[in-house]
Amino acid sequence: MLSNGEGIKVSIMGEVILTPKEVFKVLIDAETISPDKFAGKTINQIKSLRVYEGGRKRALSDLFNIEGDAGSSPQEVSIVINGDVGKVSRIGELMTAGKIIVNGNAGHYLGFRMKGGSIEVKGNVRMWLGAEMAGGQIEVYGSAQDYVGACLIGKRGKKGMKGGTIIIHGNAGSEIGFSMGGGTIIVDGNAGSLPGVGMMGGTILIKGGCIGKAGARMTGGRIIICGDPGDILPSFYIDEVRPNIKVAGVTYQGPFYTFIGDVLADVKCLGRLMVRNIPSSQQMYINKILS
Amino acid sequence: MEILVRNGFVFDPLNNINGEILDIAIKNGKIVDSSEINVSKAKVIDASGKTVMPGGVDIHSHIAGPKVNTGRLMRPEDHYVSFMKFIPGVRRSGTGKTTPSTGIIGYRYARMGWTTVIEPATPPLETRHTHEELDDIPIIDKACFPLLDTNWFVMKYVSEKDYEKCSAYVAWILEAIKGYAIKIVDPGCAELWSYGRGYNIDIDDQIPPYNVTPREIVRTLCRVNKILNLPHTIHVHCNRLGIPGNYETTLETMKSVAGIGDGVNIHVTHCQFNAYAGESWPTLESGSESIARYVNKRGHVTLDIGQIIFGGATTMTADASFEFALYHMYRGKWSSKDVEAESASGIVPIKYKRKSLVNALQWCIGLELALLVENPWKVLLTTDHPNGGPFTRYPWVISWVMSRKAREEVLKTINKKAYRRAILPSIEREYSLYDVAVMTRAAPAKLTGLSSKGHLGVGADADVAIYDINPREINPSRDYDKIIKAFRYAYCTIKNGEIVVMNGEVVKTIYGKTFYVRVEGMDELKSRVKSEVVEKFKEWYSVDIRSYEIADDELRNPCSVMVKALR
Repeated sequence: MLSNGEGIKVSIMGEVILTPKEVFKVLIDAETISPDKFAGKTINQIKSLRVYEGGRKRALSDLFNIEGDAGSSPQEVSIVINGDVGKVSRIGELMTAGKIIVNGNAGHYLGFRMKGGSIEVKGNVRMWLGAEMAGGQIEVYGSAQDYVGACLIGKRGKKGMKGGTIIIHGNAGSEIGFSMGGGTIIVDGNAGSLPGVGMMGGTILIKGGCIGKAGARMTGGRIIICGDPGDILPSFYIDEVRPNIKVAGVTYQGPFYTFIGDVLADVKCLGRLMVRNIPSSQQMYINKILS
Repeated sequence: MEILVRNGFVFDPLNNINGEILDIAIKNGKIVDSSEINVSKAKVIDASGKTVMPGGVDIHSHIAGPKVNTGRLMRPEDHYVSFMKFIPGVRRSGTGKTTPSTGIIGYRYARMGWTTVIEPATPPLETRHTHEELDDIPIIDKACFPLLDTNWFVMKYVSEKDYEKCSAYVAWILEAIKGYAIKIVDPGCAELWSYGRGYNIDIDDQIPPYNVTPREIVRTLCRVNKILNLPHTIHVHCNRLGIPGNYETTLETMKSVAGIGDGVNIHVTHCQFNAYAGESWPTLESGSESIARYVNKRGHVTLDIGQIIFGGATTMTADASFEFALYHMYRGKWSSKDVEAESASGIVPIKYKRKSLVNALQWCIGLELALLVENPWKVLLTTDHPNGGPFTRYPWVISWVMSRKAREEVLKTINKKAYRRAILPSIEREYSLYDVAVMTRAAPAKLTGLSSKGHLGVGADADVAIYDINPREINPSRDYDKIIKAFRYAYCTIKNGEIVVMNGEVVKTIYGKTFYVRVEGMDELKSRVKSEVVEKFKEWYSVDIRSYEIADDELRNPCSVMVKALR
């Protein structure tokens, strides 16, 4: 778990505070807002970093009030964004270390392909949160939209999230963990449809329910759904009942009905779908098999 | 607009000019004599110390049509990696590496100094789409070859051995859908594909509904080609493409048309994929030597190499059954289509790897063909874009044929077993700039019968490419890096008398012509065949014949090439 923002302020790290100058109307591409890009730069150099506002080239200082100073290496940089940056995409892209704290909403592609460090968002985030990330930690106190920890459309294989942890305290959208190959996604609320589609490794824990079709095309990894799982795909087969499951050091009490699949994607059925509540329509059938 | 290209080293093989320092004068989109232009008013381009060549002609590059578009839709990941930005008033934007958007296809060709490109496979039924896309490609001139081998009408006439009617049908369809030449893809196999078969069909196997063989189809269409006197020969993708041991089929296909008409009568396209010896993939060997020997000995065959490039590619061909087999090798994405009574197609994205025995040998075989065929007029440079690799890699292919050192740099990194089996490491030949001008400009222009292209003589279209190569200072076999750089970004490209590329950047968007063939003569027979076609059309097609024919005004800039049928 991350420490809260107060704790970071008293640390010895270099801190850069960004405050939006206005309410943004168009999407902004800001892959330059990352500890790796800020490290070793003076405040004036940071101010002149390039961002795109709706395709138009702007300096970072045109959009944000910037104060503080950055450390010499990415580990020492902490970026605090005070305000709503729900239209600002690609914050923390490719970051390897350091911290980003967003006191507000964040936009698309937050932590895209990040390799390390941590990101904390006090509000909601939009789509592609932590897409293709390989390491580090993201914590969102609000909700996230679709494609959390996913890979971009069209790629094959373990091209989604490969490592690290994403924790969402609110709800998540559809297709979280699309093609993920490793790492952990924890959703405290509910998820949309198709969590873990095409998944090949890693863990998705949904403490609430989901709309359904969990684990379609999965060939590895595990999906744990504590609430209502919606409908379970017919290509999943009941394997066993587990009393409890451990995820990231925390034990969740069951019993968990464990399904194997997706048989349509891979006959080896290495994927595991674990649900606490099975749909009433399938209850009788599953109980019959298990007994 | 008048332009004077001054003091360049001119390479113009069709006019036997080999690196002489000359001025090229351009007026109203044509090349004129220097005395005809007013030097004080003309825009003068100083080409001293630079190489001046005619605009490049690419005879085989899948740049438009429904299959290319499906490839784009199938491969979003190809479009993340490569893009060109929109510059207001100068150029349009686009994305994609192996399956680029229509806009940037034209810009990238122009940037390399290529100005004429031919889309070599379009099913007649889908050709309206092909022309829509060709119209959207800026700068370059284009043409398209319709697929006619598995067309039910053609197969019917082939089985009846009715060459006259077949000729009349081909004459009608070329004009109806604005095609340029006869394309033959794995003759007959598309028909078998609708029965779920078609893989590994040899030249003498029967094609069921009409019981014709691929040999008969090729021979008949070759004869039709001679009867109609079409500007280009038949454009053949041979049977058993991509199957070890297929070089024998390729040789059989070449031999089957030997003696039909005079001169060149068959163009074997992307020959690299058809030059494999050995029994299976692990025992794959190069069959390029046998093919090169035949081509050197006989005058009726031309080739293009279909060089592969290590890296990503999108295979797309009308040989749907082979694509199905390829899908089972790669287990990735696959698309397949059957085009009513005409053709089929398949698409599989693949990646060529240096360390793979098969891919490394494929890389060697392509270059072996280019280097073992003695006459550069008989072997053209292509990558069969996007099957072997994107056309943007031509500069590298040029460097490999021009420099043994450049080849050895790559040979060091490839699969060791492939290195031992290939003939390429022992080949010393290196192309000169003149030879490169032949294989990329003069020969394809001559072969396709585009008389205004591929040379810089008076009266030719003003398509000129200027490269930053000083042939007196640069030794291509040593400075191959400079050759690559120069061919990647031409110093200047002039298309139709307008400067479209300067210093490697596009400076203007213009739109080129679309060539198609119109056959004169045989009017009586043509109308008789047309009434036959109309009758059958209701039975065989899902569209009305009036929707099938494409009118002149549907094309942006049509340009008909008149030919006179011999009978």
